[in-house]
Amino acid sequence: MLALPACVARVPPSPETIAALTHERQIVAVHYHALGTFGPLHDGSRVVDGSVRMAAPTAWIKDRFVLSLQARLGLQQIRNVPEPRFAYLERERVTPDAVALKRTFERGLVFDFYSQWQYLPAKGGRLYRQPEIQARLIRLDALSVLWADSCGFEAGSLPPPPMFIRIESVEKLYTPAALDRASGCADTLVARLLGDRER
Amino acid sequence: MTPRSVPGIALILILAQGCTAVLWWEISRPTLERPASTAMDENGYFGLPGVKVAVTARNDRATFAMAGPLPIFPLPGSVLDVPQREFGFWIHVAIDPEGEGFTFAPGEVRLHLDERAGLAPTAARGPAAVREGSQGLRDGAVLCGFNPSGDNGATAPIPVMERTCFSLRFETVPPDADTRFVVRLDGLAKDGRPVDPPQILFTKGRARSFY
Repeated sequence: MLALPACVARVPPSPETIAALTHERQIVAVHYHALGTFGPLHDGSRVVDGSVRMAAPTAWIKDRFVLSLQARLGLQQIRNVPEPRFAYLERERVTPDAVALKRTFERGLVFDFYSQWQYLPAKGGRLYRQPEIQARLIRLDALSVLWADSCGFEAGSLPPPPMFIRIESVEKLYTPAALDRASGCADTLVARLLGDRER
Repeated sequence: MTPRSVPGIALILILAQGCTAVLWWEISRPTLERPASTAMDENGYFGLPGVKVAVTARNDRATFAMAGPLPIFPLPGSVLDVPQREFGFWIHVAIDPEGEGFTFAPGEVRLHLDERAGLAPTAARGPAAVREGSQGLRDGAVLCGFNPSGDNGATAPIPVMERTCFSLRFETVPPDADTRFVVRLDGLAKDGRPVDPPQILFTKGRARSFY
């Protein structure tokens, strides 16, 4: 199946963005489901699924991003929500609907991390394109996007997903080396948000 | 190509593109009885204080269809759909809370058919996403979609932080649209306190869908 890469508008950070981060009392970080097929792919007598729908490890990247931001800016007020959210997409089908975030958290700032699903064949191998994650900082009162950026990482060749058991998490489908590169992706996002010079 | 042939070719191109269909359904249409009579919004939800709910019964029966490149070939209901006589009546419940602190225990929902005591669900799926897009969905239907929980859904109270859907199975033959029944959404709570359970009455209705 052909999956078109998302075309996301980049919103560069401004000094006001960083000021908002340091002064806001309620900051939440959320991610969206990164695993669309949970398996088992085989029920013993027949193939249930011939592929796995998966995205970039949104929780992994979010956790790394939040830790890094807390360390860099001394922000202790970021609440990292562990449960993934459903990505109800906006009309353009590119980014999750921010109204749903406002309905849940009502006020303050929200970081959200979203990645489009693609297909990993049951025999493993390379994804059709490199996983990409979109990160946004949204002010809920006005539903304004204060910052938006994306980064990708080389997933490499992935091992076959487990056939006969439920897949625990999307992280289990990546190799440790790929997860390291995903961590680098989180570091890139932090650097761009804080305006570090590109290395 | 003369200018006169252009509309004809355009028509042929349109007709050659494939089939479409319009289906008419007999359905059980929900109305909110308690805690207050509220109209359903355009997405199929009833608005309550702090939360919206939608309940869809899976007992639709197709009664008539028109199919073709243009929908001109009629198909009677008898060839489309026969009434289901097997046990297993599914009801989909969508909950869209405002704020945090809501929980829902799917196992506490009760189905009241006729004057019988409330039936408890024997199986549940979810929490799942609410299915998006109107393709193939008849008007007013809110159905469950992507389900990360698999077939072993929650029955005990679980947090509901966003638009979330549950499918509940009741051990009874799906009633026909003429049968009135009530679904009572017990099990909904906010900050640990039970919400006055929304009570939804289903009566015969009609709907359409396009494919």
